[in-house]
Amino acid sequence: MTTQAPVETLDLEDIQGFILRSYPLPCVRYVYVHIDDKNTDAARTTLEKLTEHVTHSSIWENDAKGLEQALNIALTFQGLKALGLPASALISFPAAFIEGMAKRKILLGDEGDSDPSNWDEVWKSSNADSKNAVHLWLAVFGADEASRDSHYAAITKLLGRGSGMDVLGFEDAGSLQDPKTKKYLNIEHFGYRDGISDVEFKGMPFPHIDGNGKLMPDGSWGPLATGEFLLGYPDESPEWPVAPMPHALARNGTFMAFRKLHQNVASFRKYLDEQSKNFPGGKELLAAKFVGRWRDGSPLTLSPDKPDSKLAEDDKRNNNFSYKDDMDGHRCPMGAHIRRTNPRDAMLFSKLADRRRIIRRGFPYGAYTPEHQPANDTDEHGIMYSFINSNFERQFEFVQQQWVHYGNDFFQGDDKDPLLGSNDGKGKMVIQGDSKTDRPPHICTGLPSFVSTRGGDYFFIPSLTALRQIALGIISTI
Amino acid sequence: MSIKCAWISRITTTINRRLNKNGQAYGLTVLAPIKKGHADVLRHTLAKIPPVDVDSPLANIPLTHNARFNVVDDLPFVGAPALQDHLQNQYLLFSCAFDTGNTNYRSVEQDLDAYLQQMFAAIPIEISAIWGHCAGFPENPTLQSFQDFVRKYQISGGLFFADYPDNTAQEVRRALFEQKKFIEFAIKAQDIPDADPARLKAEFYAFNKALGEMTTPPPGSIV
Repeated sequence: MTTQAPVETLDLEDIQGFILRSYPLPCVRYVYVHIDDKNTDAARTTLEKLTEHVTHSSIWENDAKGLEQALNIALTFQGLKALGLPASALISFPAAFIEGMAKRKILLGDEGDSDPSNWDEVWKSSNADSKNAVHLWLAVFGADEASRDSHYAAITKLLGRGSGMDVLGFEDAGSLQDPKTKKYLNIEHFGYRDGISDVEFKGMPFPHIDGNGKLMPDGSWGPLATGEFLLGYPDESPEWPVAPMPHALARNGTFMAFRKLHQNVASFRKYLDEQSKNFPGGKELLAAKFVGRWRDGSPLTLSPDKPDSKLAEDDKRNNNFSYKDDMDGHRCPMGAHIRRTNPRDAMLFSKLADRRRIIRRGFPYGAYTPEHQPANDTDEHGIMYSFINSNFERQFEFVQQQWVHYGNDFFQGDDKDPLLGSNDGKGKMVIQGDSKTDRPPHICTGLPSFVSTRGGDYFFIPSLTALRQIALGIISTI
Repeated sequence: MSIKCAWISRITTTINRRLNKNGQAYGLTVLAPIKKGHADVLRHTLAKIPPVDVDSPLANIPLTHNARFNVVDDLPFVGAPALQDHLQNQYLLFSCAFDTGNTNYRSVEQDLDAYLQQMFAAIPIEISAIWGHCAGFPENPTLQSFQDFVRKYQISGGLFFADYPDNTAQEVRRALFEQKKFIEFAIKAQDIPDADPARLKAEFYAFNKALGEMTTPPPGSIV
């Protein structure tokens, strides 16, 4: 085994906890808060109190053992402004963050059903009216719904009258449950196991796992540069990531694209049923070809013919692969979801992929409809996603624009991601054939949009230091 | 480097001009000084030209692969220490790749004449509206005076990268169009029961015949 020991140590107590890894907590409530900019002093005091409850990464020193509840906080640009950050600090934030997610819709492929004019009311009014703008994002986690609710109750006590903050709304999400047994399932609404691939960067307090970091020239795996995911550390180039001033505001913080992604469950199942009638490998293989993994999570690259539950469950193996023996896509199609969003060595050099990696933290919302039960598109069901990176333009936005909504880098013309692309009934995906077995290629046509954006924004996830300094009003560049 | 010696200059100019050709493609670079005070009006004129599509005036010059106009203000060095290599003028850059239809390096001058002839015939009004802001552009241009003007300010590329050195724009557009139609055929062919080879063959021949009769999308269109 090749191990590249992390060389940097991180100040774990300064970094918000959900950045490094998903909590072992299945329930979450996302709370959208407006800050009264006429009451900055009160809002700062409230932020100071909230910060005392923020879960930081030192929980990972003992693998989050005993963690029952958690809280994390992020702020929009308007939120930082409402908290009275000086203009000299505000203007030092990157333009993408300042503009926010709705204004970046052309880059993100948020068109048609996903257009900001079709988003949920809380986001529409946030974008339309500064008095209703979402400023502060809270994620309240719990080991079960009761635990989450009690944590939320304790935290909202801080947000009452005179706090300088108003709760605009909240949404619950969490691991899907079996409707009968209520047992938590590790799948999303389309039936795939999600969240397998995670990033590994220098300084993480976890043992090394092959497949999560970056491919080294000798074929081994090493950790990515910390600066790809946290501000204040060198990135892969290696340069300091573009970060706001002063240094204490930026260091150990990062940026998050928070997105509510609605899933058209009935459309997905209907499409799979109909297309698989003409697909030689059958329905489950077709489902696997869309994603690059079987629904149990085993990667097609390692197990091309059938799902392998042992492989899927083995965290050391289920993400440990490259495309070097599958360059023509006969196992994992060149346009499959995981190959687009993390191409590893599928392009000329894997270095191209190293600068586009993103931390994903997702929770489904809405009731789960088991396979073979009547499903619909219209119910509130989907996935709440946090995409964490140090540079929206280079990472999240690039992946959305060039790899999810375009296919040229993978020789797939203007084909989009079969799962996430705004395909709008006109989508197409080529499932490459296999010259060794004479399996012909198959072209899926008329792909609808299986997923639509329903809201979200760009957030800054400050360090604990930064939260406290913002709360004290002592951020200064002078 | 400027070469003062006339006979050396004649030789190097000839060689340099030949380097503008890569396969059958010709890379034309024209750097014309803008009249004092005209750059902002010129930028406004350029901004109002329809973008890349069939409405672009450049689409009326079928030999064109790609072409662009740029206004060059000055030559700053972005880095430390800050340096500026001041230009005496602002310049209008015209950078263009066009088809010559031959790979003969000796015919570069005829190739350029042919392109400028097509350009002058297709968009005389735009030529004057744009290059009219440049010093030395003739007041009532004729083909000959336009060609002389372009030659006067032409600079040779030396290392001309051509996307398609061997294919004309018409051929590229046709190929993309046929590729698109072939994908449509491949999709339809998936429905042939039992992948019956005889039927596949018959349908392919029919497709191929029909394809031969289809017209290629016009210049400027995005296939």
